[in-house]
Amino acid sequence: MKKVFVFCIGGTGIRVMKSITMLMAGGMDTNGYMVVPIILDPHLDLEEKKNLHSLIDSYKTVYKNSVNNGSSTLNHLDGFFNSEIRTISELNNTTNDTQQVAGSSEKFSQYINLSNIGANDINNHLVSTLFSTKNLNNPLSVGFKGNPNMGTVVLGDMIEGADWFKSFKQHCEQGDRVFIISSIFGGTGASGYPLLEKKIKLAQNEPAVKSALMGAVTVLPYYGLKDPATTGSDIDSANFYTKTKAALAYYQGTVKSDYLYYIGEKRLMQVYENDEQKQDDKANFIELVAASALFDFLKREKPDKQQFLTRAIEDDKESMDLVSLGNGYRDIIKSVADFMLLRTLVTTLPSESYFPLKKTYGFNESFYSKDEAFQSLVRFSETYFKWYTELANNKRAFAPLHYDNPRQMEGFVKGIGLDASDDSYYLLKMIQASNNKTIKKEHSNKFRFFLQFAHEAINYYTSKLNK
Amino acid sequence: MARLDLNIVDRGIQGTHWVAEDVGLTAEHLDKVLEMKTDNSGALNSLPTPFARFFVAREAFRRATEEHLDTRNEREAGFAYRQLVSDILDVFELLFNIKYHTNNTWKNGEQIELREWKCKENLEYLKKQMPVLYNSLDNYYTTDINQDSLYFLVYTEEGKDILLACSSPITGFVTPPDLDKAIVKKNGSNETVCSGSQYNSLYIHRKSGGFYFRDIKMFEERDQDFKNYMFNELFGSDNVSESFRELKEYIRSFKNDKDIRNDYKIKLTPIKTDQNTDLIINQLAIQSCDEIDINSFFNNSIIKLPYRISRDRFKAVNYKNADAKRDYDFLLPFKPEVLNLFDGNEIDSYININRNDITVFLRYNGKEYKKDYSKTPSNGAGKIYELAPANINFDLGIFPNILSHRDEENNYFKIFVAGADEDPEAPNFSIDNISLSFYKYKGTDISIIRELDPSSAEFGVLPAVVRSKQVKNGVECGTKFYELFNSSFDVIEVSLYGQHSGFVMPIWERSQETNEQFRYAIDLGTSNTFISRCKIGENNKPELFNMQRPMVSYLHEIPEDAQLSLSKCIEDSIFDRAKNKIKTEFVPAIIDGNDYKFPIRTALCGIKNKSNAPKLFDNHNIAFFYEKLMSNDDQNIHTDIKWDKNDAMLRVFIRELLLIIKCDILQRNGDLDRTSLVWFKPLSFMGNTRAMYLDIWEKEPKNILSLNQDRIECFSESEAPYYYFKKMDYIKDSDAAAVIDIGGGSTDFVYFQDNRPIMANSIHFGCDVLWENGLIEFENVRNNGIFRKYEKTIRFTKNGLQDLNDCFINVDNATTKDIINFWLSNSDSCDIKKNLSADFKPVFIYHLTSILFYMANMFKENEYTAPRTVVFSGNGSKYIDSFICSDKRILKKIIDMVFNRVFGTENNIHVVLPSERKESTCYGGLYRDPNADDVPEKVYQGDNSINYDTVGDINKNFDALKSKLVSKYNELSALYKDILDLLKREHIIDNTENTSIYVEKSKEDMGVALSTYYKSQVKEKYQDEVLLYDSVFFLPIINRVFEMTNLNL
Repeated sequence: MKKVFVFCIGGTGIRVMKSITMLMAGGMDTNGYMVVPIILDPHLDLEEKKNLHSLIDSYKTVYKNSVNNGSSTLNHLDGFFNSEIRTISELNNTTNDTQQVAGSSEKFSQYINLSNIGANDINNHLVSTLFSTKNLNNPLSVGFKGNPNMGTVVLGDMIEGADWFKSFKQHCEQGDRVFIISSIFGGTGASGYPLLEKKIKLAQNEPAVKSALMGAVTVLPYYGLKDPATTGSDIDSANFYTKTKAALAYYQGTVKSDYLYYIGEKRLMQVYENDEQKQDDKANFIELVAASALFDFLKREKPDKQQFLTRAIEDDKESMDLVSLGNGYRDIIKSVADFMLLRTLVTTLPSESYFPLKKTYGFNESFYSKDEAFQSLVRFSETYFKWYTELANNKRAFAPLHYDNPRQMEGFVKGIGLDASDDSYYLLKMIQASNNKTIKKEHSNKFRFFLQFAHEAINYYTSKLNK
Repeated sequence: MARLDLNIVDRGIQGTHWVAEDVGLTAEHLDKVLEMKTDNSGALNSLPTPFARFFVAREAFRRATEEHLDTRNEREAGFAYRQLVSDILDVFELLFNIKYHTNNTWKNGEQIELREWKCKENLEYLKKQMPVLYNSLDNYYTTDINQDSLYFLVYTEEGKDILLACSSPITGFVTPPDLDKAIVKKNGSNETVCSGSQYNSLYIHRKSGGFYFRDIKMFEERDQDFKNYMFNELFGSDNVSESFRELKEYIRSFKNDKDIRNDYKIKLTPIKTDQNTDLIINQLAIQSCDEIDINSFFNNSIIKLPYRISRDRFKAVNYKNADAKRDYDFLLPFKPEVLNLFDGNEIDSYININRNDITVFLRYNGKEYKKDYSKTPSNGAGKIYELAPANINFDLGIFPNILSHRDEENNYFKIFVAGADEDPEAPNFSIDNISLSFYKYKGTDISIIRELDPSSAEFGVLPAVVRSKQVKNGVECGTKFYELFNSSFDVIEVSLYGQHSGFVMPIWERSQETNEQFRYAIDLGTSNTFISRCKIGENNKPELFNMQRPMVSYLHEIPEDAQLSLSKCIEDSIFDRAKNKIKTEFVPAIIDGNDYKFPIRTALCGIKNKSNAPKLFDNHNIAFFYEKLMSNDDQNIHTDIKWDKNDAMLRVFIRELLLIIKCDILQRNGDLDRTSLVWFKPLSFMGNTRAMYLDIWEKEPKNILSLNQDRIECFSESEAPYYYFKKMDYIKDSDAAAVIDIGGGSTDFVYFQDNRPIMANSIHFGCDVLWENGLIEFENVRNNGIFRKYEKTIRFTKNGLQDLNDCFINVDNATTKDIINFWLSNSDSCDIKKNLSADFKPVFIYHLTSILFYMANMFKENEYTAPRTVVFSGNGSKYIDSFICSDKRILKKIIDMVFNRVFGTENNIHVVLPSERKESTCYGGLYRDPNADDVPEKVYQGDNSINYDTVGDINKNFDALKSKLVSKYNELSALYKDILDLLKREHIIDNTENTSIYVEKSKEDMGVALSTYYKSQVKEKYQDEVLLYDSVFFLPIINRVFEMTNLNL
């Protein structure tokens, strides 16, 4: 199976990967590529990072259960969870967390062995020119605090000696692709992307790596942070654009990705708490659009020359829906709408007394309460709902759905009327799907049936979004 | 519908799918991005490269350019970028002004060093020591920096190194991130705090105010010099590397800045690294200002003089608002090198007088620099050092004050300095506390003239010589002299106590190049010296030597006073304690023909203990003041220099005369080296004295006037007057004429026949014999009768002369000749002439009779006919008309009587007693045909029966000679009696006067005296082979005259 190694660098990388995962869960097509996310972030205890790992684990659980047929593996489903996500350690058949930064609890000065040179060594002046005392005293456990100059040094070393990078080079085969997600205005992402790209391009001994079609999404400024003067943070979003401009200028002629996706906002519409350690920033529309770049990339062939991609929205609104987003976003909206409808089913069915599949397919209380895969789906759905809620309430808001009333669902997707006026339509369609005898003969995977029937039911009504 | 690209710029893409384009976001796109300002330096986290700092700096300049060009004030760069730009500009400015800082503000060993970091060897080193960092640097150095070397600017203060910057191929320099600043609130006020605590105590005074690396100063706020250096020199060329684009664009965005000028010129010099190489960053040669810093030209104090500076003679400060009647002036409070900024010896400066202080302004290159001076300075103001309250005064005089148009002729200048502590208490200021320095333009650059030894230097200044020191309870100041050899000067810097200094610029008179040539004749007599001048090519009567303008420039202003002569105005306007000093130790400011005129007494004033090594002005000078003023106790007056065996005094005397003549020539635009000089040799010069004179008159004119020997003529003192008298048609019958030139020390005779000098003779018997003490060799003997007669009774009507007389009498080394000459010189203020005429006429008659008798015998024995005309010349001859008789008719009778008696025939001799007595020698010298044969000198010992050429001849025949002379003395005595009788008859001598005592005295034996004095004056002094040019005839007569002076007491 073809693989796409998705390098998620820094906080933005993590959040975009979250969106990728969500879109994949909702049925976005990876064009047959297995997604191998590699998260690059020196933060040891970043909640977002942990959450992403957890989310991916849930995804993988759902996916695995959807293709599991006892001793055999089924083809992936159409629709929900239709693509595999596999970690690099899984490719290695190891359980080591290869994404952990070695020695990351050290101070930066220790990390670079500053004490190895004497007090009067002229190289002290070089170090003092490149790094502030604060940089040098900075423990890597909290990341690079928006200092790509440090990030470059540390990540460079991390990449150079890391098991995951060796594994990546080992497992990257002809036809595999590389996709790098980073922000340009922060520390880790800004430093990681060109560095990683450079390392990949320099992989002389691994021609598959060196020649892998490479895409990258560079997330431009899209959110702000509260005034650092009030928080004591070293990060000032006031210079995000400045840094972006400087970085883009630096990128010119430096970065070599075949496809370089730009995504960002012209003004910082949302302002988050300025807390580097927490970084519990709400999901953002831009991250969602950035995530869509991966799917676009996976559909494209190797270009003759480097391509730079941008996308637009139809109308500059604070809250985006189908109309304001424009037709280009229908696949995203459909993916989100589909999963949100799945979530509706996941949450309503356990309490549905007269649902005939309870008996015919065993979608009973035991299934809902004890099936590991369904439980994973429930958890995933909860995360998804939270994620969507964040998107829908952020600035700019991604809110194409009216999701909060299962009794009035014609307008579930704003701007387009669905034929299902309430959830019973979807249940009915699930029942109809279950009558497909061919499907019934393919496998005996109760959870896979659930997802198949749900997708058929939902797609029945939402497929008009594809038109 | 408002379509929108989800991008930081709108590229106008179609549709809402991902749209691919071949071109990424370019700088052109990015320029449209409106950025917010950032005030947080800590947030300048930059780019994915370890060299991010270099690119942040570039970004800072880009932002600063945007801010500067943004007329709507919408594009603020913010504090963080502004401070970064300011800091980097500070690095450039610090290096630009490094000379200023090193010379002016860094007094405690502060210094900077540019330490080279060689890429190759250091990366190799880091590979082993810091491999993590090395790997990163290795990845990026080539693409981001790509320089063989970087340079670290390290500032050392109190032994501690502080990194200020690193060179950058992008912005010239980058400062370390620890130098980034943040503004924090502290106790309610804003405080700037550096990111690195090591920089919080860094306070380097910026030349243009404030502190480097501390307060923000954007380009427009900086000094004009620095701006123009950056704009025109560093980034004015199209050849500047493209990698400097942002910095260059920032600097070039100030093209309309008021201080930027295309024609701005700054002298620059390369900055050196610790490897002694020029600091070149990415082909950009970093330089420092090599101009002497304008502000550094200001002295820390300004000297306020208690008098006004002569604006005719010196360039000094201008005032914007001073009282026109002010009684003070300031010296220019600058280092003389300030003149290098200006063309043509002009300094554009003025002083503004404020209520309690002053402000000095200096305008240069269209900019005005200023410094405040106060009596009680604070806040960086300089001190006004006021001489008046400090009871200090000084003045200076420059001699000569005129320059030849030929620079090589400007080879001698003497600067007189007078300084006094006017406090009645013990002096704590002395002449030692004043020092002068001299500067001269070489091309357009002014530089100091160093003190050097003339034997090993082309030109220079001799070490200052103190002539006088102010003494406790004394009334006069101290003095010192500076001498410049082979160089003129353009600036005098005055320093007091080595702490306070200022300068003035002499305004030189300048001679014009013409074809005017002058001939000068110098008659250096025993008692008097005379100089005359004529213009070569004109047949006019010679001129009295007087000058057109002063030859000395004094610092003080000369008030105009129509009632006083110029020389008096000059001398009277100097401060009191220097009034006598400028007269007694320096050359007169002007030989005006009145207060100072020739003839002068042949007298030299000098420090007592320096008579062995006299040096002009340093310790000796011509005593122009002689008989008018007394010198100080530590000074002697030498009045016998003509006959002194040591040539040093004479040399000094002649040197000063020649320097005065040089001034005169230049004032008259004469051609110095085509000047003719005539000097006169006395016939009685003998041996070494003769050689000494020849040497002096060869070397001194050569040194001072650049005269070759062919421009120097020497005639006999004796013959010279004849040519003048002849020219003046005083000699009607020139068949045979005699000129008798009676000087102080000698009397010369020349016999002319048909306008040609036939013979000349000189005797050491001048009028001084009348005032001296015979042949007594002790100088302090005061037995002369004339002196004794009046020493206690003489009274002067003119103020000061009585005191001066007392001084003369009380000074041990003043001889009777000196004192009597003093009386005679001031005869207008006393009765000396009347008294001498009344009391000592027989003595004068005896003196004259001796001369005439000797001359007549000489002519006769040399077989010349008696002259048809006898002309008297020489200053000494004035005793004839002053004390004997001015009636030429009577005088003719005397002369006829003498010649009749000696020749035994009747004679009718025309007597000429011209008014130009002393002058005639000089005048005659000027008109004598230089090609004419020298007059044959004949020696006459009173007898020609034997040839007495040498001393040996006389020794051998002394008895015979004595016999002849004794006989002649008897004849003389008889003649003397007859002349006395004649004069009684002519009522020249009162009939009642008892002249018999003189007759009797004249009759007394002369033989013993002749033997005695011959032995002591000739025989014991000279070897046999010496040619004796003098005449032994007068030896006893000298003594007899002395004896006669004592007959009427």
